[in-house]
Amino acid sequence: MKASDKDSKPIVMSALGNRDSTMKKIQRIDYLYEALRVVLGILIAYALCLVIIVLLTGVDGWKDALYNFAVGPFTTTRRFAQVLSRMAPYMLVGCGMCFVYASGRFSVISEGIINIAPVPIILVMFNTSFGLNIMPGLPKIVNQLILIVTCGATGAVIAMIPAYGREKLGASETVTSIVLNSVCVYIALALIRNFAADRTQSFIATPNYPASIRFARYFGNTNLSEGIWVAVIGVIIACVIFYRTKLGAEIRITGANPTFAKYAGINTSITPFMGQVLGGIFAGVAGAVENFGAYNQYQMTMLTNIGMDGLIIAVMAKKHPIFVPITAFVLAYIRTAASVLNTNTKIPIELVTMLQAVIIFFVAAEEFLGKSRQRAIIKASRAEA
Amino acid sequence: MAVELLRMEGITKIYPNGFMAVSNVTFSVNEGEIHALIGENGAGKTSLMKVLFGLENCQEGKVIISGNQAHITSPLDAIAKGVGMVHQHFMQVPNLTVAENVVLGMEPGPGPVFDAKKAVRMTQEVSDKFGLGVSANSLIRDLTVGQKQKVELLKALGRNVKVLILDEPTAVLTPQETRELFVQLKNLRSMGYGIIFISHKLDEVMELCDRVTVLRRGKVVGHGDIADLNPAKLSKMMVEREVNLNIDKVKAAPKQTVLHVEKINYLDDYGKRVVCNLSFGVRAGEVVGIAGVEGNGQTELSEIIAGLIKATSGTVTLNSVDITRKSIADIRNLGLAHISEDRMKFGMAGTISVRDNILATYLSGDKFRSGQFIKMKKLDEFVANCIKEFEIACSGGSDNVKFLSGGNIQKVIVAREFSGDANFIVVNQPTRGIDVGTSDLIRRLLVSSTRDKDNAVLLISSDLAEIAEVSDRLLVMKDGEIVAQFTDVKSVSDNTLGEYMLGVRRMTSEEMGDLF
Repeated sequence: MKASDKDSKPIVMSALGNRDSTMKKIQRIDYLYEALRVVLGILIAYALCLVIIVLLTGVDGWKDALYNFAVGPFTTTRRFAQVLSRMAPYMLVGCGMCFVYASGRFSVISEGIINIAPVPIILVMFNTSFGLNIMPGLPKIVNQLILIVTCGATGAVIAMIPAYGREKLGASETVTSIVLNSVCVYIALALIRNFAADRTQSFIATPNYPASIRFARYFGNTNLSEGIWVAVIGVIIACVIFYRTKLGAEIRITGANPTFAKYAGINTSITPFMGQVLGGIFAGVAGAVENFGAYNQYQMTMLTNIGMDGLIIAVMAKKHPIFVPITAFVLAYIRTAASVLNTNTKIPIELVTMLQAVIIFFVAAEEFLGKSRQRAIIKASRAEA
Repeated sequence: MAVELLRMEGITKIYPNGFMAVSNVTFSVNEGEIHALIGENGAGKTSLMKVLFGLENCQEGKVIISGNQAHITSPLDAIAKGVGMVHQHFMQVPNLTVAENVVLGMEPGPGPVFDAKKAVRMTQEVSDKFGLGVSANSLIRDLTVGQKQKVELLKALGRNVKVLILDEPTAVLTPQETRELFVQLKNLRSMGYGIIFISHKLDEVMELCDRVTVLRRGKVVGHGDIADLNPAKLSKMMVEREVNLNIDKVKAAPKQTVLHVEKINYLDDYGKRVVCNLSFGVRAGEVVGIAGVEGNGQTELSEIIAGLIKATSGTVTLNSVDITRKSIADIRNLGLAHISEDRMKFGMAGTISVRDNILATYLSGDKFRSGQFIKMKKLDEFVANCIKEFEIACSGGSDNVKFLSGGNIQKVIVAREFSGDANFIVVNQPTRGIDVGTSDLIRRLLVSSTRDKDNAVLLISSDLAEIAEVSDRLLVMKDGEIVAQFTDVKSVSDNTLGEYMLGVRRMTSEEMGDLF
């Protein structure tokens, strides 16, 4: 027995070694094509937009328009600050969506949370003696923590509604969350109008936030605020939770194969519930950063689309929070470029919506480049065999 | 000179994950011949047949049927060209009758109207013609496995095929049913059909077939007439080393009862009693085997013990704790490990890493945790150790499991379940579809974990050789009940076992003795 074991070992090992290196190569090809799909998707979408720009602006203006769209955001500090200021809530919502999406759920409640998350603390700010007399005197950092915690908590509570419906009652979280988004906007508006509106304004808005209860703007008066640091810390926390904690592992495993998760002893209804709640917390914090950073007063009267953008960011990042900063930057850049274009030429900002659709189309299309990927893999296998 | 019915020339098949399943294989079948296609699991037999049956396309090679080159695009196309296949897993609708299943896709009748009487008549004619003895009017779900297989044969024969592919047809049959099948296959051979018989059971191949082709790692490593060959030569061709089915094992010295089930019952979704008043125990230091034709309650039994489903009544005790109503996490923390028969569904998640797959079952315990945080260093060491000890062919713990072969995936599962602190392991079909080397490793592990670590193992398997080799005590399950117990496993013949499995005989409780 022992002798035959010894004899056979070298053969087995060499066979394994061969397969091993082939597999490594194939895995590399697989990753390469995953990345290629995202990059090519963005490039094709970009090229399509350029064509449309040329068609719309005609022969005279196209050079100018093209320049604005391609490098517009880099041309002034203000514009680049705009990219970064968009990026801040994007990173937070994007990370939150990674948790939702990785646990195998498709709740888009983040969209409504952006609007409703700041409302409770705003009511406290403008209606209670604590908010009117004590808070303005507190150190800025304490107030900012209060903002983050209350908005995150509100986000968590709101996110629980579609999550509970899904995990306990079997109602589709996608449908519930889409419907709830409108509910969030109007509840927020009703509360603001009745309890915190500034009657001197011609539209529904609160009075300006006191300077000590907000994220201060950078570079004079740009939209970029201290909130960007909240986003950076948020991404780090998201990565730690996602890759290094029990809950993160449970979320990833449950999303990858729910029956396997059940077999392994993971609670397969609490885990996706927690994934959605985490998504809500991150969306709530994004709401804080957006409302108390980029605005001087609460003035959101409709959905912001930040939540939906978060979904796109998570999809482009392949539900990995570690890639979220990159994909958030790409989307923030494209959106800013579109608004630069909008102000300087006659091209409408809606162009970017189409751009997004094309990107998502290619990123989500598993079989895009499938044939070429298959050929590369076959070649690699054959070279080894 | 025999007439060549079918010829496959230079077939090469590469799967999208880069696995070269079949490489430049040439293969032929003559009229009135049973041609065996043998090889280890993963040698490429099924892939080659999937190409022939139009389920997979191939990258190179051509198929010639009755002298004409054929391009087979789909199973329907294959059937139209005279190639039929009996799958390992039956493709039948359980709620329809035999006749309805047989005519599915070619329903007789005027226009869109279904002529049920004609369907029954057609089916019965074919059944009688080939002496299959299946009643066209019975419902599929009332049939035994052997009869279901005959329905598969009927489906092919009813469509006038000339070449029949049988993919491991005896895997689900009892010895008696196997013999019956062989009689029918020989009958078909004498009628001029060409039959491709896929198997790993050498004695069956020797008994039934005329010619044999041996595949290994996707290549033809030998072919010839059965008359010139013997099992020893064939097994040498099939595997690179002589298979040593004899596992050296010390006589078991069982200690206290670790697992005990008491009068458990389970009713399935249709209200059928699948597990019936079952009571038995497994002691520390022994392997208890459960033999039985598949579908006699073994799956449900293992899932009840593992906590995946809850027994309708009765109690399950593990290490003196009643676990009947406990959660899977609690049961695992009490000392359970479980290798499920359906490894793609319950054993692994393909899109995450080997490390996460191993981590999954340890999350509820505190082996790799301090508070909510995972001890990454300790986990990485553990995973690296598993990969080394179990010879898992991967480049590291961060590889996605979907890139591994079936045998290596099973190694990941086995490494996970056996490296923990569990003292009771329920194992269901651990070597099905697994290559010989890995199977051997798993069987040795089952035995050594009871001898060295005093674990208790419950092994459920339909591989009689395996169960006879590994078990210290053997139970036979039939219709959700235990019908026999053998304490001297080696002395039991396949025939005796088959009679108990089929329900021809059953032991009284006195004959069985103490079930612990």
